Amino acid sequence: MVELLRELSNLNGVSGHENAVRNYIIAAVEPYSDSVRVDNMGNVIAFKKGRTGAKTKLIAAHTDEIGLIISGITDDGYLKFKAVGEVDTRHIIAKCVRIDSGIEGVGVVNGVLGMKAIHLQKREEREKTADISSLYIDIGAKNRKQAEKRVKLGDYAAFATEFEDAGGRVWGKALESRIGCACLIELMENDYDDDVYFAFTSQREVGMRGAYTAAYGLDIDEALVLEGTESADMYGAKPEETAAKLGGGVCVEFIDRYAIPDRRLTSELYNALKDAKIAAQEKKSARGLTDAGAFQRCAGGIKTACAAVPVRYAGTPACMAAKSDIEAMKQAAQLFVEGYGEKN
Amino acid sequence: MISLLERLTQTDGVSGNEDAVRDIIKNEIEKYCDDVTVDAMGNIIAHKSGTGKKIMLAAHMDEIGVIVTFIDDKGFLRFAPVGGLYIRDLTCRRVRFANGTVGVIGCEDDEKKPELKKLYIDIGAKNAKDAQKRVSVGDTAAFVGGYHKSRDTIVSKALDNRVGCYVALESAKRLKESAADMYYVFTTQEEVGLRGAKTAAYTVAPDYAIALDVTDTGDTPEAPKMPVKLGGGAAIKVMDRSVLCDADIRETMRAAAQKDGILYQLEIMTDGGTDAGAIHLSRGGVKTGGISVPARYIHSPSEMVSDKDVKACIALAVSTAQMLSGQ
Repeated sequence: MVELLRELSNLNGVSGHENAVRNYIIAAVEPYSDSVRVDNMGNVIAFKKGRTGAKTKLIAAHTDEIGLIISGITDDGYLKFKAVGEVDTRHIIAKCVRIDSGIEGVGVVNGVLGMKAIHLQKREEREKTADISSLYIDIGAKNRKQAEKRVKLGDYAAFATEFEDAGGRVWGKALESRIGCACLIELMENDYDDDVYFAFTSQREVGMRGAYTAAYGLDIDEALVLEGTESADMYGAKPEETAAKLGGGVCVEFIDRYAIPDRRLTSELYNALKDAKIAAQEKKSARGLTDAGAFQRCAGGIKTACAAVPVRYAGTPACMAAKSDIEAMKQAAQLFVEGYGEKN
Repeated sequence: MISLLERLTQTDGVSGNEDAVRDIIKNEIEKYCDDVTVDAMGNIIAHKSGTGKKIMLAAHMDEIGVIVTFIDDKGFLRFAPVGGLYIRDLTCRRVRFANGTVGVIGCEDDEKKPELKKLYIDIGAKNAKDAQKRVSVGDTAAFVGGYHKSRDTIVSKALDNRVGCYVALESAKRLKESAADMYYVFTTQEEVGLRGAKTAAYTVAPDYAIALDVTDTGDTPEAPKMPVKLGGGAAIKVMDRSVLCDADIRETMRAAAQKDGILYQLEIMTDGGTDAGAIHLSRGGVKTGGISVPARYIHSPSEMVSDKDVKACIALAVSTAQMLSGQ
């Protein structure tokens, strides 16, 4: 799992440009699928026919990560950019990025996120959070002409965080999405009684957009969304603001900003986890957005639940998760797909 | 004898947990329909077959409330809102959980303008373990607000939107023998974003839809200017923040009101949203209107309506449905 996660985390797949992640997933799941297709939104939908097909289930994780998109090149060769997804400017200054250049033959261009040097800033500037419009990416180009040979407008930049296995914990970029993808890829290797769609959705960070279309036209009885949820259990946080504890197990969600997951499915999952002695916790917050809302209200509606892995520093270039929580989420997903009370 | 409207308002059904209300409504609507189903979102979709255009009357079953997010060492609960709450008005309100546990919302210090993170629910527990015997993270609670009727004035919590459900049920009773092809849809999760209506409208795919809900009045001291008055009759929705009602449906309502001598008024506001907002954008679009019961103190435990307006809304819904059906 860790090596799979390392490969997935290190791939660049900013919302709208998930190509590398998508291709990796297709190659990984094709040998185990009855069918794989990519829909118009770039979702990968893999289908496994079940032994009995009594129920049709859907289990989903998103593939994309937050990043930046190049929106301008200055005369001095600096790159101006816009955020793709919710990017907090406090967390990106002086970070390195990797730009997937759209110019043929160039490949990946490395850059650094810069702003006016601190000793040159006026006091008011130092005290405020920098606006994205005052930041730039420096790729070491001397002028516009040089920069234009290497990148173009519309190119995507992902953060250049290298995945790290730190014993009981892992850190890297994009863990909120890639952990779910890793769980699904491993679950594809088993066979199940029910028919199961494995959906790897696109563009969740810009508004759950892939999930809107992924289940359209499929007759789904029950759906489970795998996510990464913020864990505010770091230094200085009050207990009631923690939301989810790292190491506390897979986080079962009762409410987020965009959905109230199906109560019965949620309770069944939580109770089944407790019975199977899989580490689980309730998400102690109503914050966050997940694909659950989009699946729940697709067409005539789908009963949907949501299970998440706690992630510290979510929404930044480097987030951290506990291996035990990752394993618990995979087990939760497996329980859901296998059905409660029935064992393969 | 407790009236149906009192029963509906006093049965708790916070968004996402409408079960108890759904059971009552299902029992009632089954008397007037050929087919009643409950969909994946928990919406009741009840069909009374007829001829002519498919007409959908929609009313949401859910009410605003709170959801427990955290239980602290001393047994106090932290919560998040479910639906639109006025945070500044919550201190000292009572809330009631599904198992009957009642709590009081308290505030951390003497704050003139409290924020959500300073509020907590006190159920009188000794400590976390004691609290967990009665409530869990994820439990929802409704506000406590008893039902009172004197002359024509009705005061209760959850008139938004049990009065809309009541109008739908009473309309169904009167339309039972009509030729109209009627769908009575009792939706879930309106208060958190018109959610149930989205999937219900997709499934029913009506020709015409009317959302039954409450609307603000502008007739209390120093109120923002609004034409709707308590006792001014059924409010024909022209516009709210979620929808510009279909002009043809609006005109049909006005014609129906004039034909049958029903007191009506026009509702025009820049805020507020109803299921009409979700329904009119379903699939390729639906011609949608709204009939609203004028109400004061909406989203408080003491909402107020006039029985005369309720009766006018029922009459208008029935008359409009018959006119739309005949077209």
